[in-house]
Amino acid sequence: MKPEQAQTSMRAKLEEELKEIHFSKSVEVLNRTHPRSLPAKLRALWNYEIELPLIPLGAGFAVLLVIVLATQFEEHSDPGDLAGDMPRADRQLVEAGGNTYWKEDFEKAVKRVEGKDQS
Amino acid sequence: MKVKIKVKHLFALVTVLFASFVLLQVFVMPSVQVALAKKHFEQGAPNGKRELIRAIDAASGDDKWALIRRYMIENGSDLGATRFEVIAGDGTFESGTVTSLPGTPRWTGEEKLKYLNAYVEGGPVDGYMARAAKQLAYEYLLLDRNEDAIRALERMEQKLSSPYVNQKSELKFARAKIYADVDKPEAAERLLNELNDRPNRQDTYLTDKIAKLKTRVAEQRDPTASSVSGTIKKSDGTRMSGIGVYLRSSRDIYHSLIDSEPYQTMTDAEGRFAFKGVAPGSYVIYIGLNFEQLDGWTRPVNRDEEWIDVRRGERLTHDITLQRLIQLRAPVDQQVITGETVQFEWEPVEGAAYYRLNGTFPVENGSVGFQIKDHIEDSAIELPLETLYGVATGYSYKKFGDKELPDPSTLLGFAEPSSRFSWSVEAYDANGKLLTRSNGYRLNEQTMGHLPFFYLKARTLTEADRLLLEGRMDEALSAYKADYARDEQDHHSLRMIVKLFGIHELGQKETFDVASLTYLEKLASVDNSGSALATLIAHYGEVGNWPLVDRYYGMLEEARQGKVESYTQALYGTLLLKQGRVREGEAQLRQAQENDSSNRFIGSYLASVIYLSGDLVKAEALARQYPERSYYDQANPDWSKLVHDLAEESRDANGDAYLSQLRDALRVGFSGDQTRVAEWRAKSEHAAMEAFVLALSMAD
Repeated sequence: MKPEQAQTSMRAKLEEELKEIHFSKSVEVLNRTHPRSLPAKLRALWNYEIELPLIPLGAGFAVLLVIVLATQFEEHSDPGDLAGDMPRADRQLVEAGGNTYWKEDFEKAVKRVEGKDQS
Repeated sequence: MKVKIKVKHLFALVTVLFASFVLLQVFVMPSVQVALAKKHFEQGAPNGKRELIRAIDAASGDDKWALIRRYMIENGSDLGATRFEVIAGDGTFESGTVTSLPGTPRWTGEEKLKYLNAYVEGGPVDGYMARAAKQLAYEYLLLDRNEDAIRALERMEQKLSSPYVNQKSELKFARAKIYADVDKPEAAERLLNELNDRPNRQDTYLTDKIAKLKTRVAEQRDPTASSVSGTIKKSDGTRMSGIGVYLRSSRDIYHSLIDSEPYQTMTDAEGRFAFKGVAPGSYVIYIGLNFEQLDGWTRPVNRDEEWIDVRRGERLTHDITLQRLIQLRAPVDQQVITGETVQFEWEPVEGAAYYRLNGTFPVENGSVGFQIKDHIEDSAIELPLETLYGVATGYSYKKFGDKELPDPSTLLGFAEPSSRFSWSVEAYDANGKLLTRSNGYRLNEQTMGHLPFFYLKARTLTEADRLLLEGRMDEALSAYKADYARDEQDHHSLRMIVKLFGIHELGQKETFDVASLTYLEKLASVDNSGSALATLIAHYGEVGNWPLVDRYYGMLEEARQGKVESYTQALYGTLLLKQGRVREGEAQLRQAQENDSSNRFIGSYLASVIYLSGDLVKAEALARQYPERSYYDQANPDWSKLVHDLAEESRDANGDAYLSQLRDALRVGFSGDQTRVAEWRAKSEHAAMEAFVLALSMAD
């Protein structure tokens, strides 16, 4: 027996058996469990409950997010032609030993030579 | 792990995700990008400028103008004086923060033209408009598009409505200034006259600027107007365009550069500049540069070396060539020296006849500089530590409790083992003209080179040194005396005794007492630096002990190998005049005068020339050639006028008798004795002679 036939016969059997019992909204219930019309079928699908594997899906979503973000910010990270030479903000000049240096560079240089002395 | 979800909820979830993505793209991302662009630009990140340009291009309306205003106009430079990061004068380098956003990337001329033009055309008409127009004009001037510059200013002046009357005046003034710079004095004058008729005249600052430019323009229209022009380049041949050039009068150089000084211009694309219609007077050229332009380079000039004396009708040329900084080789990078000598070594400079070695040590809030050795012929020299210990160093003051005392570590000088010293060199040609130096702006890895620091740790501190470092000066002096009494070879203690006595006497304003003189003479006999000798010459000159003056000067000449510093040489010259040894004095003064660019000894030299030759014409020519320089608005004598008046007076009087009277008078002047001068003046009948002798007696 095909499943549809089985369903139909089952429904006939059920109707027969429940003839004496009166559900309120019995028609509605029957329509929902066994829809016949297209809108009814769609509504069934709409409310269909699916089970999703959380890990593969989450991983996929994360990958997608990374790709999107990467393309968004790609333009910010391409190498500049003038890197290195560009002055940086918050720089201060310092006068030391008669020369004028950028404070940051000077302190780095002093640290470097002091490191060399100790090694 | 699985989750159960209804299809409709899944659908809703996907829809929400998609919608928020779209929302992010359309509304949030652009403002995030603008914010990021701003941040990157302000930090000077490599791509900051490109991002900001993209943001400006993408923005429209008020957002666009706000971006241009904030990042271009507020940070931009116009025709004013204070737009450069460094103002280099004759031996001075003054750096200031001139931009509201230091360290941000620079806009190119092209970018500025594009966006400033857009702003001027479509931006909101408010106070920023005049600024934008002036900056636009400046960009045009940099490209030698003078007509466009003038047009931009004129159009903006017409565009601005009456509430902006001050800005309109500023724009008109800027236009007049350009006309004056491009040698169209008629057009400039017309605009300046219009400005004089302006309704709102309370703006005294602008009124002052207008008056000064008017004087200059009037001068320019004079057919006998003088001019100063030249080229600014680097020694590798690069022409420097867009450099600020300021011809500053001797009355102005004692203060920082201000906007109202009349001779301000900048170099064109070929590095050329020109000032037309310069009023006769003495000037020094200052130049304005950005850090990148000066990084690794220097303007090789010492104070007083580049005076420009403009006389009526003269067309003077004055070129400026920046030179590369000298790289130091040893001792560098905080090398610790424990041996008995220090080997100084640096990169040789082409064409250098000799080098001068200088030292500095750090003090609170700065450093003390001094000369270690002059007239070094090679690009290396080995100096015994004793020589360094004997170097005459200045000293600063330091607080000990509630007392200000001379900073002990500066008193110890090179003898302080924990001080970090630094050194530098200057290269000179055979005429004593500075070629280049090692000190300057070193702002990137290539130009930074080695750090010029070193330590001298050969000696250990004595008990007396420790007392000194604790600020217990009197105890330290006694300890040094005791040390020296024990060991006559203890030169360090001897030097410290002399230094401490020197400070004491400076405080008491007394001359040397016998005790300190003894120490000083002992030091002079062992110290090869000669610094004690100069003090002794000055002292014995003051008390009139001529044989000792001669003796110590002879020793000094020997120590300096015939090259005595001009101040001491001139002092010796005036002491010779005082004794009536005028011929010898004249010879010393002539040499000192040649080696000193400030011409501070010219008065005594002129007097000796007049005394010997009686040739007032020659003296006047000398006075004109070597005018004594004035500073801080202090009025130094105008010797050429004084001599000119003498010549006139001698013509009116009987020449020979006048000259013999003048010789007598000069002898009085040579004495420097103010009572004698006053007595003589009371009897004298010659006003010009009195004026000259008075000036001579006061000369230093």
